[in-house]
Amino acid sequence: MESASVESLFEEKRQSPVAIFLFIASFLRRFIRGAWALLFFFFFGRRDGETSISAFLGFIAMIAAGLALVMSVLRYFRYYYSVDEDSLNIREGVLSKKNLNLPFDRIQNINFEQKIVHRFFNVVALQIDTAGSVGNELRIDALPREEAEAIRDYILAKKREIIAEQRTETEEGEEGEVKALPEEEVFEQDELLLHLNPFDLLKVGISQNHIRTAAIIFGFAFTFTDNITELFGFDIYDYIEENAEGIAAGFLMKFIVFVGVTLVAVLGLSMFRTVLQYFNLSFYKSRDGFRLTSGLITKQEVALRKEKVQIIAWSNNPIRKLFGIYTLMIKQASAGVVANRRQAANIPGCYDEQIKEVLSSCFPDMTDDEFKEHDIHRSLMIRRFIYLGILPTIALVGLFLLTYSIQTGVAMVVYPMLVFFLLYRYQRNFKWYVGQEYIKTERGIFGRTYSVAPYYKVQTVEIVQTPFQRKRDLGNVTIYTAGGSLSIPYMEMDKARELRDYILYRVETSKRSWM
Amino acid sequence: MSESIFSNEQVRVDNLPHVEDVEWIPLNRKYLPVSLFGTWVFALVVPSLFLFVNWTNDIIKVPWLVWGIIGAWFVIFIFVSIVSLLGFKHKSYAVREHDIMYKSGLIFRTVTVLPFNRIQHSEINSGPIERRFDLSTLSVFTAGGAQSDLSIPGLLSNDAERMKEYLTEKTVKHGER
Repeated sequence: MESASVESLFEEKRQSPVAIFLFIASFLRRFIRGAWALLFFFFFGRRDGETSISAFLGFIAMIAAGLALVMSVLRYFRYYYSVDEDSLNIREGVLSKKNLNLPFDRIQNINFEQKIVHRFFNVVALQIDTAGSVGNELRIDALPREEAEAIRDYILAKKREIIAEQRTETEEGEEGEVKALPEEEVFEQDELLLHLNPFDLLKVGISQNHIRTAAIIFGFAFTFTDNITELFGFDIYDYIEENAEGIAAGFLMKFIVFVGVTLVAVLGLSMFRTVLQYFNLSFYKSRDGFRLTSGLITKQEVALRKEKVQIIAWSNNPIRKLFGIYTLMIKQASAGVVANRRQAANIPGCYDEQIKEVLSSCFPDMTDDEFKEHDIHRSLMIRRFIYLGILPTIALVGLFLLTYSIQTGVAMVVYPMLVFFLLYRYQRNFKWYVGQEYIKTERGIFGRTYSVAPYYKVQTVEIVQTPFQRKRDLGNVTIYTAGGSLSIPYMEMDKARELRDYILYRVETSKRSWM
Repeated sequence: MSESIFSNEQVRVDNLPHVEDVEWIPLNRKYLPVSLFGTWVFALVVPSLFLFVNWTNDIIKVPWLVWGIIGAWFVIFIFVSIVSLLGFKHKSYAVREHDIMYKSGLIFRTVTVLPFNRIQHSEINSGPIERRFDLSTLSVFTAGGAQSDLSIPGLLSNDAERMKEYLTEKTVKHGER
């Protein structure tokens, strides 16, 4: 199948006209988000006969908005992209002209994104991440799919040439023979590691972390239950009150109904979000690393390069344990300060095999027996119990003495016990493992999240101590990498110092590139 | 010495340089009034704006509520100032052969160590007031995100310049990426 030819990439071209539509849409979104206060005053700030400052400001905002809109459209017509032998060129600018030249070897990541609008017109947005921490991310908003693929494949092929060149240079100390890959050999055969069929999707949806979803829904649950009573034509709470034996039973029944409705709503929303995000998820092993595609309406495609992987984490919960699955999180070096979902690939529904595959591929020299297990100090539990347990309980006791309601009475007894139980489990389950090349943490109350990072990828080491911790010679250790951080609370300071000195030694003497 | 954190007893950390042994250099004393000044400019401007907007648009009509809010605002800032004052003597930095570190905080004592071969780039900044006192802030950036970067304020401009040159030389030598 003849797709866009390489030569045509060398010509300067405009994006797909869909970009205009996207500019306007994103502009409107940003404008409303930023100027909502001004808009609010503009529409509601006027008094009879007066023209207040707010209305004036509102006018200014509208004019500025109109101007910005016109500029957006002009931008489209002044935006040209092209490639050449070793770089990507963007020529743009209406008033201030900008000529951007991006050498391929500065490109770290190439991703496609397709929002609903993109899919409708069959275009993709091309996102390019570069090295350096000053937030450099290049985005061509709308390109025909074949064009975007042609560009990506061309750049990847060129990058492989560069790497091959560098390798022969360092190995032989002189210009070695470069075997350039023929342009046709660009489509590599990726090995499929994981694919989620609808049944897998169901397992993933059920085993999602519902607590977060529940928090969102919690406020709405009250109104849900009200609406349900309308549906049924009678007030279920009244019904319970009339028919239940005693106040306690009635309360229990109401509680059960409330919980039931919440559960259904939470489960429903979780499933909906799961299907939206992870539909048809495919996880491949590629020559340079891994590739992940998924999504029902917005199709996401993430390319992960092995060298860029900083932290590998995997987590389960009691439901996932039932199915034997984990959610695998591959955190790679993100360009810029913006924490981007793209940079951490989340792969739910993984089994042991996929995790082992990814670990052995990215961290080949990691062995299980190099690790020594450590605990965290018990005072974490005591300390946090004071803030999370005792103080709220005192508030509840006060409330109870004021109202003498049964609900408050029950809460006042149950809450501290619950908090104690959860904190105890959290502190007891938190483990950190020190190896010669890697550090691993394990944490969780009912499930477990494991995170591994190699020392040579560490950026900085930070130790924080609260006054309480200083007295007991404890500290919170955080190890930063370019893909996120690893934190260990309430570590004994002599261990913390030893760990910090060792990590710094490894980082400072290592010649290995962390990216 | 207590048990090693490693399973392999042959890994001995005793002979490695210890961060604990470092001699901390405190920030220049002139920086304390400079930083408090900046804080208080902000502390005064915001309530002024608040009072102005409130007076012209008549949003909160109850006077004691307005003064209550302003009062609470200043109480917070007085507290912040006291913490800054007391915590100032703890703010210090140190430069070793292969890394740079910064210590700060009265309540939350934080020590961050940044190896030279992890430096992406460094900057020297000085605001208008800092410049009057010949002070600058040296910022060192990594790829680890904002929390991983280092920012050392209260340096004499000459010191800051020399440190930045030293860092640049060390960064190039280590072949940073």
